[in-house]
Amino acid sequence: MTQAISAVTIHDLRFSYENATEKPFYDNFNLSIAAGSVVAIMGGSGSGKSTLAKLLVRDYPLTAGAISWREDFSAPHEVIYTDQHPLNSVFPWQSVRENIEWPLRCRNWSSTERKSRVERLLELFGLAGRATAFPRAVSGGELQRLAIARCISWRPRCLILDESLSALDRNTRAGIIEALRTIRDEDEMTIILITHYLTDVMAFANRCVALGERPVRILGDFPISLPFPRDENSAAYQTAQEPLIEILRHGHL
Amino acid sequence: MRNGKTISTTAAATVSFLCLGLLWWATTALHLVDPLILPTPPKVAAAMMQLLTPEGLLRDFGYTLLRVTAALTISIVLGVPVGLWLGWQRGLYRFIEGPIHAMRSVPAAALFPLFLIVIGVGERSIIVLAAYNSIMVVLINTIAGALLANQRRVQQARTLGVNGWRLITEVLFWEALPHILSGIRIATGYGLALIIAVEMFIGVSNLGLGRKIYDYQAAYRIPETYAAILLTGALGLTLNGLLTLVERRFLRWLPMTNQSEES
Repeated sequence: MTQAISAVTIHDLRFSYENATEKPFYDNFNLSIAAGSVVAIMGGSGSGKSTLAKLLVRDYPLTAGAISWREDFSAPHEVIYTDQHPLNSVFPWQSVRENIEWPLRCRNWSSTERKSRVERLLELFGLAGRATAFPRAVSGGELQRLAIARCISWRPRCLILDESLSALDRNTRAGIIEALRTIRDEDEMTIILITHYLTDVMAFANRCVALGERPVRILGDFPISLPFPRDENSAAYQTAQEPLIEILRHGHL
Repeated sequence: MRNGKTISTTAAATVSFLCLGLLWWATTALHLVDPLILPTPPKVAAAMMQLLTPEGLLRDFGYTLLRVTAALTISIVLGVPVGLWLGWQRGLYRFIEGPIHAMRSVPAAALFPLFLIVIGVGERSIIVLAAYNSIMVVLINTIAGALLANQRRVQQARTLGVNGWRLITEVLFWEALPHILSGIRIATGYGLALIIAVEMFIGVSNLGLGRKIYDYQAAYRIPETYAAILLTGALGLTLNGLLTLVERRFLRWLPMTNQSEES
């Protein structure tokens, strides 16, 4: 993969947490993510996938190496991070509608642009009936849908989902993934999906990177080139899934 | 359901007030206490009816209310913006945290002679004294609320290019609002207590409920003293009730966990 089409390139990354005395968490780690792709980062707990997400949004300083975002991704608002706590991305004092609209005001969208974007997202994320409700009054699934709808409202170039769907049941996750797939195609967003759910990866990603060991290395890097919608009972699906199951099993057991 | 709850709370409060009144009446009717110490309810009610005129206790009620309101307004207008700003400028706050807490620890009454020298005897010194105390309470609560803001939400707002005054008014203010309002509530209690005490003991004005309680007591007009005390209690209840209305209006969104959590 060349620099030109990569949204982000991680080059010889070295990183340790401040109080760590043992060998570095990341050492000589390299990874490129293509612009417009949906890349799943998998691995067991402690495999460094969440740390990677936070390094990508510059939450921690690198010890050595570089994480370089392409020019059009380099403004802070172009790469947005969400975790599994929706209230970290939602203002509880604003209604569902105001929550989606607020970032657009911050980005100076005109009121007509704001209105049509908000209506579109409310409908796509199944929140149209809850537009005037406060976050406290909506269900857990609706709250996470709101968090994600808000995070992508201003069309950031890249969305990082750090286990954002992991606390939800399978149907709710599938619904959110469906909405995200639609909006991804419309906005040509790059999505980095950090998860331990293989079904989410198989439903959405076109590449899967499995992480493990210390210092962290890439245990496997697989393209998932199946057309959408994906049928989990098809032979092609099963074939694509096999090496992932294999690597995850031998990665941490 | 909520309405039913409110009604039953009101009913419970009414019943308990009636019981207290009944207890008071029984105590005086059975001559358990010297009537000079505790007059009968009808006597106090008669005194109240007689004094509750625009030239009487109503005017004192108004003066005390105005003084408390003035002190609170000053403390909110100064304490909230400065508190939010200090909660935002964490580095600066760490630097002046010590002096702020030291200042708060000085009882306001101890400063009154100083205020009299600096500002002079008069209406302004009463209000400044109460405002000084209230500002410290509002300020410290506001800072605490701003420091407890969900840092991921604040960070995300920054990512969107929101900063400075806009970040303070549109994000930090709401993050801190529950703490700001409880600070105002505490400051109201302190403010009323201080103003009543100052009215009683420092002859800067002949008007005000504190002054009247003191004067009636000195003249052995005990039913009138009780009437003035009851009116002061009513003033406190009214202020608290208003604050409850404000909280209901502006914290409708609140009851939920609001913590920043790291995964």
